[in-house]
Amino acid sequence: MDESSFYAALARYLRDTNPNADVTDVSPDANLFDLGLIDSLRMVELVIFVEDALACRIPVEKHPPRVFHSMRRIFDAFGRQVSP
Amino acid sequence: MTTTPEDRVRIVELFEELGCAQLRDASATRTSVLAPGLRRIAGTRLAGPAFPVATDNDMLPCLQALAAAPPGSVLVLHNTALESEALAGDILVSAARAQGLAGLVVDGAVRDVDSMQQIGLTVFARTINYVSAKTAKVPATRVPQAVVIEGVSVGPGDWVFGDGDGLARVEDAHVRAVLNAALMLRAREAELRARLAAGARLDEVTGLHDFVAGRGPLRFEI
Repeated sequence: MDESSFYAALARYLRDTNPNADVTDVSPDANLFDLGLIDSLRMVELVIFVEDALACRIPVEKHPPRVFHSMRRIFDAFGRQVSP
Repeated sequence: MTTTPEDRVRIVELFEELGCAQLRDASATRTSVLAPGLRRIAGTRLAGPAFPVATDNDMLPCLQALAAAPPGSVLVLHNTALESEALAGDILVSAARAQGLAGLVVDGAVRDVDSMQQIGLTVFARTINYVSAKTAKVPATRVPQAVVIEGVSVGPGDWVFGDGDGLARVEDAHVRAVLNAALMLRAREAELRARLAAGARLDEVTGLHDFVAGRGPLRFEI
């Protein structure tokens, strides 16, 4: 999945999991935690979504939470290992 | 996605820094509370893929499962009998330890608990009964096989974690995500502990007073 498609898919996921939030204009650099779209208690489902969307394996490691702060950071960390 | 051998080594290492509580906090839907009626009999912690088998007070399935269980796995013995005779004692636990198993979970009785505590393998069990299961007649229909303990299914390869709080079960496909999230939670808990140690009060950090007064949320999502 390329970068723009991933952003669109992740925006849809955030919209589906936050039906009461306005996620129409979430930029790739917006802080998803500050927007209340992601928190540490919803991290498991986000990790599973990212693995499925990017067909990648997120290794079991001590990822700092900031890796998941924005769509761009997520793609930079896990999307470039499989996308050209 | 299933775990790789490298994942499995790392998961076991990282669980040393975590506990069942963090796994459950990370995901209440992906982490099942496994058998609150079982208690720790020996050892400290366990983590590994389950190798389960069911039996009816018959040692044969237990011995079959022990023989087939690979190193690093958690042998899970589920007794379907209403009153369990001991399915494991110090000999079986010593054998499991020598085979490199990660732990033993007995939904039933064990015995020899004094000597079992010297062996170095973590053991959970429902009861203690020094009357051993003597029958060894009816082989298991399949080894390993899925079992259901207190309403929670434990299939071959499902991850079983145990510590002083009890046991937890996570499907293999989700265990990396759960561990990753639990590590992040742990890091945030460490930040909170540091703030408390530096003088912050928990009621202030969580916004307790504003919440009670109806002026804001209770911030336990730290």
